[in-house]
Amino acid sequence: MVDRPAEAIEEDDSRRTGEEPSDIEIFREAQEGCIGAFEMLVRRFEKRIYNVAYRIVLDSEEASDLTQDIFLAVYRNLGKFRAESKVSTWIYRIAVNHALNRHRHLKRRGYYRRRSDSEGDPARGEAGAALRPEPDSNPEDEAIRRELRDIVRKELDALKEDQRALLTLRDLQGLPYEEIARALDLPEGTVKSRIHRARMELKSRLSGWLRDQ
Amino acid sequence: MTRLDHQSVQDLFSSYLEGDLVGEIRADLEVHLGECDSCRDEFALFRHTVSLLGEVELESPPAGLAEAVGERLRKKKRPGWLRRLIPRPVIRIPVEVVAVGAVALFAVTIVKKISVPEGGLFDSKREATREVVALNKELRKDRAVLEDRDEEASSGFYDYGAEREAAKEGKLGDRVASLPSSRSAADALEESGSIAANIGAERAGEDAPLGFDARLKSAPSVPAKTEAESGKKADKDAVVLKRARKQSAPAAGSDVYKNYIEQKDYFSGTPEGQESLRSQIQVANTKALGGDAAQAGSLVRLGAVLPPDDPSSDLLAIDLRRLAEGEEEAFVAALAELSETEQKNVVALLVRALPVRKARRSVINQYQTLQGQKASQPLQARAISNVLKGLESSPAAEAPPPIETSKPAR
Repeated sequence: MVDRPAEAIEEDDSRRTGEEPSDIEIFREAQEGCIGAFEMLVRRFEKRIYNVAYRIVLDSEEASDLTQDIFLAVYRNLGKFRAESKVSTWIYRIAVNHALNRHRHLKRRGYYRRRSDSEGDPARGEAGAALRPEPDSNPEDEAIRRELRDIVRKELDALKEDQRALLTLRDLQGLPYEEIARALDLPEGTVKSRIHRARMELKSRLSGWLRDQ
Repeated sequence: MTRLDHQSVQDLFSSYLEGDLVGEIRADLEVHLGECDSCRDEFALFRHTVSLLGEVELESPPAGLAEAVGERLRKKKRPGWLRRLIPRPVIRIPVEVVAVGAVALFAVTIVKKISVPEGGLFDSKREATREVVALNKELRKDRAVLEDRDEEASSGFYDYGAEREAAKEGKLGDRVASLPSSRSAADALEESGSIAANIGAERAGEDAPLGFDARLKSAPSVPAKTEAESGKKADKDAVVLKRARKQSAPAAGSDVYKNYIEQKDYFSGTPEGQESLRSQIQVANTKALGGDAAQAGSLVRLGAVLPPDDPSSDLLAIDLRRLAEGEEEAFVAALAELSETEQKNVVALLVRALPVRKARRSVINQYQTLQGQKASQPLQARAISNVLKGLESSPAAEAPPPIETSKPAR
């Protein structure tokens, strides 16, 4: 992994606009004990972190609890942030570590074995939002897309947890390789090859269906 | 066929798709894809797969997640977390100094209230006993409040270096002990209060370690303020103001204390009210830190009436601490206008925001010391001594000066 000097990454510009304070500005407020500022930080990251948690533990209720725990861990460790990376990277790192630990814990307790006997995530309901709807699609296309998104989701969920985490960060959330590498504390080259392998694995799982298209 | 085999080509799919391949290797791969149906087919599937992944929408987190996190943080009431949040040099000394000053002010009020009659101290034993009993009760209550807070703070704290703490305590203790014993109690206490301020000024000056007391330096009594400090404060205020604007800011000139008094149930009992109150506190604090004495007074008055278990009390405690650090004069002036009980409430809240057990202990010790200074009357001295006896024993360096009792209590 390429180490960037602390001065090189002083601010997270990913969300910065003329109106809103940057991540690092809110973060500094939170570091000084302002819970309101920390809540702002949570709102800013909750969707991204919840999705990392969800894609790793594969249960919306668990993911909800886990996301709260992740942010509590972030709060507890605010003082340890040394601006050597972006705020988002630092939060992602805590999130992935927590989520993988929780996944291991659930797996040891046979949670996924029991769940595979039932119908999967009970709180998930109709998985209608998994793929963006095409505005002009006809009913037949829409039915195909619905089937496709179910298959993509199912096959994505069938990958190993670290592969799911990598694809979530890269392909669902669009993080640059460098940020993923920093978040996972892995060399960038390793991250690239693992993501490639995960994509190839997913391609193999989807190929039968895609060839029929 | 080119020199790349099928496996090598497929290993490069991601790099090729993301435009990372250049030069000869890219040309080789494109030649291979042009000639090999199998690899071309695999690449089409690969591209489709990645495209489908990109279309997967993110799941929506449950509503109110941020609020739930905030609520859990407020319920924790573990100031040890605060300690980890706050950079050590920023808060350590000034908060203690101001807290001790606040305690001193409170003690002065008590002494003035127990005014000595012209005809002599305590004409009758009954009157003296009544006074002692009342004082005992008051001190016990105060001790209970402070120790309760201390208990909460007893785990998970960042521990300061013992020698630095001892040096600090020794310094303040020596200055208090050096007061001439012939002075009246009120004079002695008032001087004690000013000692705290003097120490603050000293520490803001040559005595302060590098980086210490930036906020104290910015207090009105110390005009010199560096550009960097001003800029930092301005940046911070801008952030707070931006945040406040986002969170349904109250109308200009709004009095948070008055608003709270008028609608206590709403501000304490409903999530919207709590959110609104927190927002108002933040806005008022920003204005107060900008020199608005009316807002400072409003916040201090709110500190006197807000129940300790109110969901907004942690935030208020922290903001009062900031106020005490940043606008010491306004804070103390606002405190001086309150009754004894109200002052006690504010001091208890302020102590709650002190994140280190030793710092709290220090304030309690100073409180004891200041109480001891009014022991010009033996009966009172013995009474105070009895009250203090039960308090947690302090290290030698932190011990208050002994209370002189020239004759027995009875």
